[in-house]
Amino acid sequence: MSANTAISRRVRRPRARRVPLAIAVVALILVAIFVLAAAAPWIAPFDPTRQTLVMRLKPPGTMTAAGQIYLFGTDDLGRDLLSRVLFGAQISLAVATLSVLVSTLVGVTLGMIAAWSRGSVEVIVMRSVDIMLSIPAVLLAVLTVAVLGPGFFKLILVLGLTRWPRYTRVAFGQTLQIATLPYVKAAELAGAGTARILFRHVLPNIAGPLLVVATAEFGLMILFEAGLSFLGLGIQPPAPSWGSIMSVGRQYVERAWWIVTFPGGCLFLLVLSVNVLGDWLRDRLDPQARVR
Amino acid sequence: MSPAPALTVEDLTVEIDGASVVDGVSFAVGAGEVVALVGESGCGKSMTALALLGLLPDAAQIVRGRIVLDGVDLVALPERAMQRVRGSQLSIIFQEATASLDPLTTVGSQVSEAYALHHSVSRSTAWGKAKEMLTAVGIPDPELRLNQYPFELSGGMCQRVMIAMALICGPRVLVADEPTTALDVTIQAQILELMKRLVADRGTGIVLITHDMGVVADAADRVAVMYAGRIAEIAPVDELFARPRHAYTALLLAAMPSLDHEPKQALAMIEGKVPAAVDFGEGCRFAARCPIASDRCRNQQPPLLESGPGHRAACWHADRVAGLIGSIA
Amino acid sequence: MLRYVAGRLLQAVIAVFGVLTIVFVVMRFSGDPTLLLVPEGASQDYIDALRTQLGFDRPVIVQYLDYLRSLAHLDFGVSVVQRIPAIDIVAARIPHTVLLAAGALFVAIGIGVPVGVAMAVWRGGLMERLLAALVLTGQSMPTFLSGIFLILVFGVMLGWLPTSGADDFKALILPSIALGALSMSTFARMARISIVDELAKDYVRAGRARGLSLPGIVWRHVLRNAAIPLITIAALEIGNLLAGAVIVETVFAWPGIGQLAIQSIQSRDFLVVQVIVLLISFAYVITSLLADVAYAVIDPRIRLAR
Repeated sequence: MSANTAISRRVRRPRARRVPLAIAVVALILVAIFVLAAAAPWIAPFDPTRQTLVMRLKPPGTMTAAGQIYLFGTDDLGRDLLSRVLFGAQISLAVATLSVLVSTLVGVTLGMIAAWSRGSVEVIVMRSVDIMLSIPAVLLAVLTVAVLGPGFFKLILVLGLTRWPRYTRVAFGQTLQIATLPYVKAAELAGAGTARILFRHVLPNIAGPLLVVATAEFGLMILFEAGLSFLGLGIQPPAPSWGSIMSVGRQYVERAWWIVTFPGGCLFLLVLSVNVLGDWLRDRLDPQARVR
Repeated sequence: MSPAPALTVEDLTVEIDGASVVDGVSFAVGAGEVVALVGESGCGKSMTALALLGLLPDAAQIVRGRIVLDGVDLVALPERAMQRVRGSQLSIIFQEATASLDPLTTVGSQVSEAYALHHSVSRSTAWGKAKEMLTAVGIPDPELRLNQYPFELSGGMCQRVMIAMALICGPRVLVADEPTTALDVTIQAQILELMKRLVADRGTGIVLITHDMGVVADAADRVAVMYAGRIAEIAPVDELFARPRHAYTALLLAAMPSLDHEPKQALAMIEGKVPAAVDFGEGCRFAARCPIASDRCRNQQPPLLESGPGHRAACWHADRVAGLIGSIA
Repeated sequence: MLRYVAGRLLQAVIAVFGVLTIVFVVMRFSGDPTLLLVPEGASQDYIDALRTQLGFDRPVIVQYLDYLRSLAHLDFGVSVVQRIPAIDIVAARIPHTVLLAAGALFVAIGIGVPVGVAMAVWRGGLMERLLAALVLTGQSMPTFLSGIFLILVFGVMLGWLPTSGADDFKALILPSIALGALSMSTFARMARISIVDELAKDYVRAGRARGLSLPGIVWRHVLRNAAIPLITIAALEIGNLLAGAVIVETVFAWPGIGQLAIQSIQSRDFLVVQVIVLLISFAYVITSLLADVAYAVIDPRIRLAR
């Protein structure tokens, strides 16, 4: 048997049982949000950046002279809130997805390599993980963004590079377990290179717990982006990040409750759905991981 | 005429998800008598023990039967009343003694709690009783031990503490679920001796759950052999060992290593394994593994039939079992 | 026990060095840290002079050692914006943040733990599902969101409580709830898990066998055992609370070091920002250490180990 017909085997998981109703609903909500966000340029009734100062702070349901309706009302510069919220969804999802991708890439690779090489590589990587985890996450993000300055790609980089330790820890522990399995040893003896072993044999089997971490992190990144934008450190206006919309809304909360409520409600719905889905995934894929 | 038994179990049936893990179990325990329930793992003996105390896991239900302790049917009792019975009239000790103790509380607190729960007394009185019991179970320097934490005691000593806690209120019956399995052989013997002495002194009945025929031989007065949730055979201990009337019992006895064994002689084995509850059919549950099974056995569950003084066996071919012994040994 | 504490102490020291180093590194991410410290529109000459004055033209290693040395002397530099020592600016605001964190911890533990215990003891019932929904809601609300909604409902619509500033005790209520809500969910979940884990243990079954009722066992034996992992959680949560204060203080205009941090970022007073980050991180490390020591004190197995 050549090394090519590799002895790759997946650890078989029990067949999926019926998916509970709550999970189906939540998944539907998530899909809906993704679709709406992607379709924002086509379905948004107004240009999210167009200011109409005469229509400032109008409540939801106000009509324009031309018969169009401001479903969510307008903000302090007369911009349609619904359109801004739709485009804001794009920002939240994009930042979260990309930063999770960056962290996963960096973190999982480091974790697998540390567990596979052991020795000094392991020490360096895992000590770095410990050191990075000794600062509260929010602070590290705030400090780094403060130093680097705001911006879409800088934000993704910052979030991606401050969160990788979470993935590394899990990837490390899981890889250690898998590395001792007979068929992995066999692949090694058959002459398979390290990269091949890690990516073809180890990775598929540790994907479960990693997916659990990634889902939890996805929800957290949405919150981080919103929080940083709220503080003026993330996505800058006039880009319609939910966080920055709510920052304005805070100032006008007595006069225009809708500016805070609609993006806030969407944010809550999104994060709630991600959390519910994440919990369910965790129970199914990695029941031992019960942190947070 | 012997006095009424302390504990009578009638037709006890426990189901999990519709499958009966304890099926029609009946036996009685007299004062000062040791009745052993013996069988392989999974035969339902531990479930029976838990059912007696009303401590079954949520998934399991008693669907039929009575458990009569001093004239009261425990199955019918509401939980609050059952809490008053547990520990005071009916006690249980488990296999892992050290794990059965709260690691953050002193031994003395826990033993005196066992007493204080059922008697309104002062703390010092309860503590005094605890000390008395520790002495009774053979723990030297009880004053020291009372103030120690469970992790500071050995496994054997923890089991003595559990026995002390179980007997401190003077219960009628003590259920002992594999009390010596986790202990060294020498400690095992000591604990069994202790238990025998205590029941002789106090007239407590014991239901002794075990998978070890050696323990049965050592400590039991009567034995009930369980298989797949049912009682296969029940008899006084000497009678059972001398004249087993169920194929399973015979095979169990043959599987015991003994001093008569020739060196290098293979131990007798029972082929096959215990059937899962879902596979139970209409007939005798042992039929698939039984060397003397007939069609009647496979189709019709034999009831417990008299086959000697105080001796009953659930086998259609009880008379042929004696011949079985000869061919195995 | 002594060995255990010494070991934890060593870990804490390493963590502290780690924090110092990370802050040092991050401050140099943008290349020339002088640029972070100069006011807007400064001339190139001014920048160069400042760079030499602050020592940023020296090799990195030298800068690092000097940095460590000044910190050891508790010299955090002088704010270029306000011209007074950075540490003084921060110290004035610390009490407010401590008060807020205490309030939030009170909310988080005072509500979270009983909720978690209730969920564990009445598992599978309607009560558990209601509480679980409550917990999930708390967890899905970012602090600024719950803060704003609290302001909307209790401040604006109902007008019961003040929504900004720290004038009187009532002003502490809404910010504490907002900051504590997320932690409350964590405590509830952890308490529930911890108690469920304990309930599966043998000593609980043995306790019931003695005649204890389920609430009786939880009160007398389980709570103490279940508290052990919660102590570590509490320590970590304090760190999260201090960090979350940054946002909550901004939402409620609460005059603590969190609000100071954001204001300093906006006014480019980075030395103050550095002090605040270092301070909060140290607090995080120290509370973790204290939690581990408390762990040892509560669990006799560690305390009495030879």
